[in-house]
Amino acid sequence: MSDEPESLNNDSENGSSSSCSSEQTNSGWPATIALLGRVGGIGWFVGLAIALGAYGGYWLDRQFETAPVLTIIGLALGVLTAFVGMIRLLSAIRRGR
Amino acid sequence: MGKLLSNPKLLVIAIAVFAVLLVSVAGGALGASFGLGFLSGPIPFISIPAERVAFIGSYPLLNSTIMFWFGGLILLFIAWRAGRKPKDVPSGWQNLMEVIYEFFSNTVDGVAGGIPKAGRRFLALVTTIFLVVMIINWVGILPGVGSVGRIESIEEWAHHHLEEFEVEVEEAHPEYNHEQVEAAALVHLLEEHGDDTFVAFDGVFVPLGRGEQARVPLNKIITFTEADLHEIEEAVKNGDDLSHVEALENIHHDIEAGVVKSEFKYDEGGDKEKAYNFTGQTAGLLVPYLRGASTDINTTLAIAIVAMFTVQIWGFRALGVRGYGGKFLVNPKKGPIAMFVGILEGFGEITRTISFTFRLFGNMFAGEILLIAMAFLLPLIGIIPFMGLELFVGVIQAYIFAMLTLVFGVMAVASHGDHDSHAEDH
Amino acid sequence: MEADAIKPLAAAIAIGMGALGPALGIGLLAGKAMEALGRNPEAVGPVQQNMILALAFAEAIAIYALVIAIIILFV
Repeated sequence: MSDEPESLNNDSENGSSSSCSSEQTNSGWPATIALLGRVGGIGWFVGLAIALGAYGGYWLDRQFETAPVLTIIGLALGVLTAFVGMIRLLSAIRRGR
Repeated sequence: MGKLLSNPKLLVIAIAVFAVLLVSVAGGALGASFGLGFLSGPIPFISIPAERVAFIGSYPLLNSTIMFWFGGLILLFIAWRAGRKPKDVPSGWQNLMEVIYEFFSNTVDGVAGGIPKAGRRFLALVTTIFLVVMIINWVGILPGVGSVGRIESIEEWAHHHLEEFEVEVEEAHPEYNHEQVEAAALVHLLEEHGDDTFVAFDGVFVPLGRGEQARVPLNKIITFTEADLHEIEEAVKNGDDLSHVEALENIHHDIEAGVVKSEFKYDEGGDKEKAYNFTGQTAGLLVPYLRGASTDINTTLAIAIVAMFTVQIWGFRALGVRGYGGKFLVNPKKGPIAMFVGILEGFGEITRTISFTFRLFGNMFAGEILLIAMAFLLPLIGIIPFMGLELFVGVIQAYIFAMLTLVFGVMAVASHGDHDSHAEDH
Repeated sequence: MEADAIKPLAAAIAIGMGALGPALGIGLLAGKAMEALGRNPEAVGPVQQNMILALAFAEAIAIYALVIAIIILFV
């Protein structure tokens, strides 16, 4: 019978957003939104890395009049950055959990 | 459902996934037929030979060659990372490389006869083929590969396609001079490819929201009529001075400009016709800067030739010239059937090379087309399960390439004595 | 019947009929592999490896048909 008050306390902790209990809640609204933000950021990171790499290479090409060489190098670097960055962000999220 | 609704994390994720699904279905090809296709883009131009993107001196550099070098650099990096400061108890990259090496060492010994270290001579090539093919397969599906490129303008496209028509015209009328051949070929080109469609670009990005229907046909980019084409043909036949023919001048001018001239109507089936107006925008085809190395027949053919050539070398080294050559050029004393079987074995070797080539090429190229088609149909999420399939197929094809090389090597090294003893048992 | 009209039909027939044989072959092969596994569950390693190897041979035929279909359509 002494179990019941404990379970009631636990339920209220899970539902409330402003938790006056532990500092590190892994459920609840702020943590969920933070997680979604980090996961969504990965997509933006990959897209922006490739786009900036390609466009930066293209802009440099126009400055120096070299043929597509610099664009291709910029694109390859962008792809590499996107991939490595994605792996690092994902492993950071997994470690954080 | 109760558990879903009560846990806020799961609920928000479920709602987000459902919203993304709705947006991608509405924005993709399905939504485009209802007038909603705001995310859809045109299918890129799929070409079997890899496209040239740059020149090194006078050597045309293909986009798949660049990715092959990229894959090679990645392999070198992995090897460097795994090899520095080797520990007795491995961890990290060194551990991964040791797993792969040990797996292949055991497999090679198992296939080569069960005695440990029996397959030592096969190990290097087999493991290398596995690693190289796996890395170039995987690198070929990274984001950015196949989607960022340059625009091949109408002028270039026309230049490419004129060549085959020029050859035809020259064979039919060897008396024409160069200008006449070009003009006649141009007429043929416009007649045949007048309805080919091209993508209209605005600035840097391929415009979203225009699906497959909004590709501009060629006769809206280069204005010509039937009468114009007849006029040019007549002028060519009569041997007139072609610089006076106005229609030809206009067509040349339009090809150089490469800009969409007028709006066109797309017949959406039934009674509906939708008008698209892209006047003033550059038209052309997208040539990607990067393309997976194993989607090019040259790469797979090269690896296959190396593999089969090495198999022959293993055979010669193990059995000597007479022993191994005796498998193909059989002593006539053994009867004509044995000679025929020997010749068939020779053809078998060539067939295996071609089979290697097309197995890897077909799997990877079909995978790339599949990814493109799924990205076109369901823009945001359709590609996810097929990426998983591509990863799986990449590993399996690399493994199969390596294992088949090993099996053929073991078969080549097996001495004839085994065959004879089997025949006696029967 | 112009060549342009018959191209998609030819490609469809090429891949459609070309995939029948390998599909049957792969199904039979996997069935026998399952049977062998059922009889001798300890031999998972060799059975699995050899099954994947034979799978590649059967699938290669389907891939040849696919390459022909693609060549018909795009070249």
